[in-house]
Amino acid sequence: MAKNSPQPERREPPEMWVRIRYTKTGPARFSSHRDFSRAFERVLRRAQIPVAYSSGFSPRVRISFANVASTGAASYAEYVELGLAEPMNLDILKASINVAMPVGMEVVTAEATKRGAIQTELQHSIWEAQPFIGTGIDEAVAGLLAVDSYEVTRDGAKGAKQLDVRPAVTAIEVQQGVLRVTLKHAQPLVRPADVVLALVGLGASLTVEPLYTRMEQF
Amino acid sequence: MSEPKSLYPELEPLLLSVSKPIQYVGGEPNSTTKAWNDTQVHWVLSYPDAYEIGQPNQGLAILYEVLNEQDWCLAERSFAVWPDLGTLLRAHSIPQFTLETHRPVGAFDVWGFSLSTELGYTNMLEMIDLAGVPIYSAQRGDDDPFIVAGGHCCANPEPVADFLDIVIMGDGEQAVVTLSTLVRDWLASGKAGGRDALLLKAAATGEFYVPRFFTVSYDADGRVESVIPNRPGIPERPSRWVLSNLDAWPYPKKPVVPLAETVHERYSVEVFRGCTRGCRFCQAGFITRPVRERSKAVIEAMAATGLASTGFDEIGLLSLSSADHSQIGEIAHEMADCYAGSSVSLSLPSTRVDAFNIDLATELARNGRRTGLTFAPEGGTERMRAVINKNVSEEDLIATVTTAFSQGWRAVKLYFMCGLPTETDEDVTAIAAMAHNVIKAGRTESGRRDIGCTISIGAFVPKPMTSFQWAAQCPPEVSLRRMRALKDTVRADRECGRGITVRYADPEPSLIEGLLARGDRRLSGLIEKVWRSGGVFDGWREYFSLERWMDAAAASGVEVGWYTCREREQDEVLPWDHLDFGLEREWLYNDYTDGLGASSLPDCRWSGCNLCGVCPAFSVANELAASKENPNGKE
Repeated sequence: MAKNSPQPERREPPEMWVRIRYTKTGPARFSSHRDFSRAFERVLRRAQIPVAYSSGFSPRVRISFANVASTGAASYAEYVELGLAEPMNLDILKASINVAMPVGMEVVTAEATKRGAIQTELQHSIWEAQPFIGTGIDEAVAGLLAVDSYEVTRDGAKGAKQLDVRPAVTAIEVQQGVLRVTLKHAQPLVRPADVVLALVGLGASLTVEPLYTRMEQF
Repeated sequence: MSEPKSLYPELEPLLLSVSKPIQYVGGEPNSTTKAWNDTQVHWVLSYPDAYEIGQPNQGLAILYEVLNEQDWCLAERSFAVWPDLGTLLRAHSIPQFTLETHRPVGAFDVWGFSLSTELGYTNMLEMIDLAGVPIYSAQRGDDDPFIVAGGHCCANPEPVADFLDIVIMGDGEQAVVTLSTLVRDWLASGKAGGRDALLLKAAATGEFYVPRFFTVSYDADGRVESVIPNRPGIPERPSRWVLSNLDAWPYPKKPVVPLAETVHERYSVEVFRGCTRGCRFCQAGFITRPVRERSKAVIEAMAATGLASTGFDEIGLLSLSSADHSQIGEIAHEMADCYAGSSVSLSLPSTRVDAFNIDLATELARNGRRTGLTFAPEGGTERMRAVINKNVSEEDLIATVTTAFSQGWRAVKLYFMCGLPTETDEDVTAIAAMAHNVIKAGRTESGRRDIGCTISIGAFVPKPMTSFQWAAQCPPEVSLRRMRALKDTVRADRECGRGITVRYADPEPSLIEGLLARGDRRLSGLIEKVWRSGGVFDGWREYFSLERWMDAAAASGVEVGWYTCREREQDEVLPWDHLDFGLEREWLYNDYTDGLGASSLPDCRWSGCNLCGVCPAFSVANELAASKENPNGKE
């Protein structure tokens, strides 16, 4: 029997978990989730953050994402949880990461957390769509609020998909050409573009395609 | 020229509906943005393919930093846009833009293209046209950028000569700064004498090739008769740039870190430039002689600063045959020690087939899984390998893989070429026997059944400035027949066939590559025709169309077989003979006939000068790091 590859050493679990809120604005809005996670791991290495790694032949950074904004959508409220191999002052962590971040990506807050908390604690997103101008908008918003269920057909890479928009909508208003909608996170996830599809189905006609921005998660 | 406006506001809404929009927005770490009015010479650097292919290009990364380090120069990047965005740009009249500031490329002073594959030529035309710049050099005005080409295709730029203003042959580091100086002076003079004044000044140095100042004539049989300067004061043979002492040029120091996914995601240190192994098919080897090694200390320092500035977790030790570096054993050992226990991995492209290569690979994979090893015997029989001067015996190969399997490796990948000069059907099917022996050796040595061997084989294309520049290219149907026969032979191998995978590349694009590699100026109309009929991204299987090329060739009166499958006579003037890469033509021809006679030639690093001509032509010599540190050559 020939000599086998050596087994990699086991690594210790993280000493500390950090919840990071960051932005994805300007050109960064066009990054996909994969683009961001690759970029962020490099940011962590450039900033020399003592991140924790998983065990195994290809150790991975201990990091988890939740509710990632889709490619093309901007956000002021993206969240990751990061495991650190050693405790660290979080003001220094935030400042070091921000020096290394690409244009449009910036850490807003960094605070100690329990592992997995972002999944359970962040249940809603507030989205804005703008410019949101056209005809029949107010009537469509009223129409959506007046029903308990409204199905739309979303066209995706894997074909058309039916989903009910209404249960996810907890608040919606249009003011000065901006649509502001609060959506409950659920499976399947309702996106702001699905809400716009519903409004169009209810008679709204938009002059231009709006851009989407996530303002908050709570 | 006054500061051009950013096109981003018009571009942004279009990006919502194209695939992978992140590749068009810039803003990557280490990208450099400078104020237009604080700089005098404005460059755009391009690779004529998509961002994912072009961005990792080492040459472009080096020149980007060299230019931006000059406080009077600015360099931005621009890559080919995919047809989905290209269609939208044309519909909205938005021109080709740069990534850093989204300025229109047409507003810059110099536009450099890195040409490393002939199949990028149609993309270059598409980019120039999308920029609103005339595709032909002769049609450009004083306010258009100078279109400059560099890269390996410049060993014979003749098929694209009519589209280019200036060609830089060889190493670009010093050339781009010298050219920038000429452009700065010309701009400061108020463009005195117009565009030609700058071009004449550049051509007069003999270090920049300005194709339009050379006239080509053809004989009655259609062969090139002569290529001679048509202006006074221009040297007849423009020559190649050769950089010495790479330690003084430790670039790239902080390459752009892509946000979009690219084909290579690592920090690469070029451990040496040039190769003197003398493989007769290898254009890169002939046109980059002599060997110029970086010292161990500089390589290690570059790796450390490169990782810190990029955050990459892989280091590539780059060169044409990295295992040949005179200190590679120590470098691999020290770097493996340095990065042990970290998430950083090391890679080393190597084509050597010997036990030393295994030691290196094992050292570099110290922390990781020993999955696969790559070797490049290139030819299936001893005779074939002597023809191409890839001097490795089958015993060496078997001994090497046996060592590998004894050290825990389970799979090997073997690279071959098909359609080599003098090749017979049997030379190719013999590869199956070689793979059979590899599997058997592996099973015996390891005591396991799960031993794998992948044969990767592609069609050979004769290239200019090599010993095989006179050779006839093998017709694609013949290559295809041989590669299929190889696959059938492997399949019929009951004992080991299931452990062997044969992968072969479609030989059709190789025919067009061969046409463009050894073509002359009469092909520019053909390239234009192919591009105008929708030909772009020819390097991509899903876009390449042989039919489009053959139809355009027929319509342009270009006989493809005459350019590709015809052996050139010894005294025939080759379209690139007027370009001086230092190689003695007679020496090269003798090496060709030696090759046809299966006579091999040793490497001049270890066996004395072969008189190829390069070193005396440029007053250079092989620079080996080991002998520099220890002049007696003893370790």
